[in-house]
Amino acid sequence: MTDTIPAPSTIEQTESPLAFKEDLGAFRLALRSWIERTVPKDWRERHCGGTAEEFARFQRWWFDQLRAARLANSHWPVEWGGEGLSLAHRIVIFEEMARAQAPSAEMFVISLYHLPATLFAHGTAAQRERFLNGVVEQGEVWAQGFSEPNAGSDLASLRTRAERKTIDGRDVYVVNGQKTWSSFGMFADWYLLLARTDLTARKQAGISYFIMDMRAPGVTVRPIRQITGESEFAEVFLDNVEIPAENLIGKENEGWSIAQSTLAAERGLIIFEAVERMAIAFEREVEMGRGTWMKDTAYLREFSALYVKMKSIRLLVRRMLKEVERDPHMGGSETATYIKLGFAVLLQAYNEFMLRVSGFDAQFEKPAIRSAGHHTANRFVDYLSSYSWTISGGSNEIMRNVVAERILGLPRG
Amino acid sequence: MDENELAMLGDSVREVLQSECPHDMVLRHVDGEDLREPLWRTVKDLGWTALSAGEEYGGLGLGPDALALLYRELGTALAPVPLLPTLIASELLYRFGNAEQRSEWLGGIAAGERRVALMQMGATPLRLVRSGSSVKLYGTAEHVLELKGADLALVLARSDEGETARVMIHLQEDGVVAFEQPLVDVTRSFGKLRLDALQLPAGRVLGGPQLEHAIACHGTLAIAADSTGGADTILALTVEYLKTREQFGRLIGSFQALKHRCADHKMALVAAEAILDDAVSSTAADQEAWPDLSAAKVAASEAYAALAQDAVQLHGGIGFTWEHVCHLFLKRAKLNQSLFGSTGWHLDQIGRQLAA
Repeated sequence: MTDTIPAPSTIEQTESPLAFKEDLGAFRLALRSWIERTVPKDWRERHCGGTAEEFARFQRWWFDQLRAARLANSHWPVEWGGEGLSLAHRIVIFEEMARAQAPSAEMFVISLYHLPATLFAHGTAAQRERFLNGVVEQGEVWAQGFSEPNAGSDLASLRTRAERKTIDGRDVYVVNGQKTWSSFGMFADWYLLLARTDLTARKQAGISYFIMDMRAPGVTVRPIRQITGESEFAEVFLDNVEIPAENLIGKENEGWSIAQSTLAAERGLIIFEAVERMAIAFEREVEMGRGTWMKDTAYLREFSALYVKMKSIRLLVRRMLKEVERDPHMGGSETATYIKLGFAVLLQAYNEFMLRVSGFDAQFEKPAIRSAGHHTANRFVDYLSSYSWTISGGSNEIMRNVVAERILGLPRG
Repeated sequence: MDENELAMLGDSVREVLQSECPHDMVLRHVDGEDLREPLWRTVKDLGWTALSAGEEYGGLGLGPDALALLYRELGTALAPVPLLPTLIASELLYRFGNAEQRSEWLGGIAAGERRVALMQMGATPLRLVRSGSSVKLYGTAEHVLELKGADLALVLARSDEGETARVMIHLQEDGVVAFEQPLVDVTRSFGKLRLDALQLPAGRVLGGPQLEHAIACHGTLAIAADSTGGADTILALTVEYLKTREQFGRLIGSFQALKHRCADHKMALVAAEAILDDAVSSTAADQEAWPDLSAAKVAASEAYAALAQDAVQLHGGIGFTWEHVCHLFLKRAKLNQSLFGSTGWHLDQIGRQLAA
């Protein structure tokens, strides 16, 4: 595969559709035209299959374009350096991106959602200044270091250790342990790390939250091959890694509650884009399916039932955005829990359905389009990758426990 | 109505039903201690029969948001009150009736003096024959909702030329024989009317395709709202039971196998409520809420039926007894799945729209 897209150097501000944001209709047209000018027509063909490095290069290129037009973090509030775009504007962005089948900036999800959700509520001014700017100005990639081989759903049992020491006059934490399931960990510049700082405290109480440089000595990253055949996740080995003490987020031993803010970002806002893309995909499925499987009334009913479920998730996302607008510091809400559980179940059911109605066509081995989110034009890969929503960030089973215990008030087991 | 007024209406409806229609009275109703007629008198005295008629007919001219609230509370209470067809009839007359029809029927209906029964949409229509200033009806009208004790019945008829219409029958004056078709769910009632060349003035006919559409919209909204109320209530009762019942020395609500089922039911209910709220506001804003209402009915009635089915199981032996309220929710939920369009029919409405 030849890749003619230039590597990023310094980013010059390009003419941004945001110049037209006062008028929603004009903003839509400006954005549409920006996408047309910016996104190569044949990017999907060129990024069908390919190496991980090609994927990462394309992701960086795409993120650079979004940054240059100030679109990358336009959903951030103004005080975070974003544009504070309204709900209506964000829907327009997702619609236009999805309609044009523009790439999805999936390598930057932690940078754009989890990092700000964590730092805004719990970071110091210096941390916000350095690291939020790092995303906007340098395009820094962040990964999340929460799970461990023996701490998955039971995250609080994590054993990676961080000890505070003074080394050559420097105040540092020395970290040892192993992390796993870090999305795009092999491309990350920075890491949101949970590690144990108190071995004697109750398990949730002894955890601290750090910002770790992925290039620090002692960090080893190894990709994990998933059931799709691709390697989107990595395991990360930490061997006497030194973290400067100023990179502690919040207070020592208070990392667990801060981590809930990080996870809340995942349980809500990220799904906004995902479900809007799914809504557009439904329209495309109709175009493609009209002459084939839609003639089968049983399939059409099943599809309609999926449509009803999708509609409910879209409505719940809108409800959550209104809640966030009222109280930006709210952290997790019941609505976010429903969205995470509902979307994961829907995504899997939807992809299972599309795989089934596609017959043998979907059974043949073929490369998937990368950077296309859950719409890779490979039904089998889309289906298999849906587990990334049903297992990660709180598995369906954990989310059901949350609904049952925290919302319905059923007793803990 | 603004949000506060709506909330006040909801509170007052809830209070009335809690005192006039608690679940133990509904259980006694099942055993023959009639609650239907006392409840009818209550809703008539409170003016609920006038909710959807215009102010000039003594009504409140309330929109779908207020109606959805009322129907939700009726579902919560499992209220055996024959209100729905009367409210549908008053909406139809108000929107589509001519001046004469309005003046003949609407005042009495809104005042609760004339109770209306309604033949289900999609039932086999009667045969309609027009001749001059009169019409004749032939056949049997089945699945007439809340026929028992009604004064009027709006039946579905079709002419040989393909004209579909609703015809108002005066049950007493027209000398029509009504038969009850007892339902398993005794909180609602079905009946049938056998008509043998019944001759009526042409003014009894309400026509137009928009009529069936309006019936479908109102009925769908009502059953979806009733379902969310019923589902919410039976879920709360079930969760409460799981928090108090002990087996193996533990509260059974601490067993994950049971918890996860409750969580899934809650998720389905929350999803249904979100869709219903959206469909209600689209309807209130006079937007074309079809097939959004179909989506609401599918989501709500399916969530209710699944929940009510599981509620009996989660209550175990006590849930299987006649004296416990579980089976009343289950029976109403199963009827709700079929009333005003089955799930399959509604999914087809959505599918047709998607594939269009």
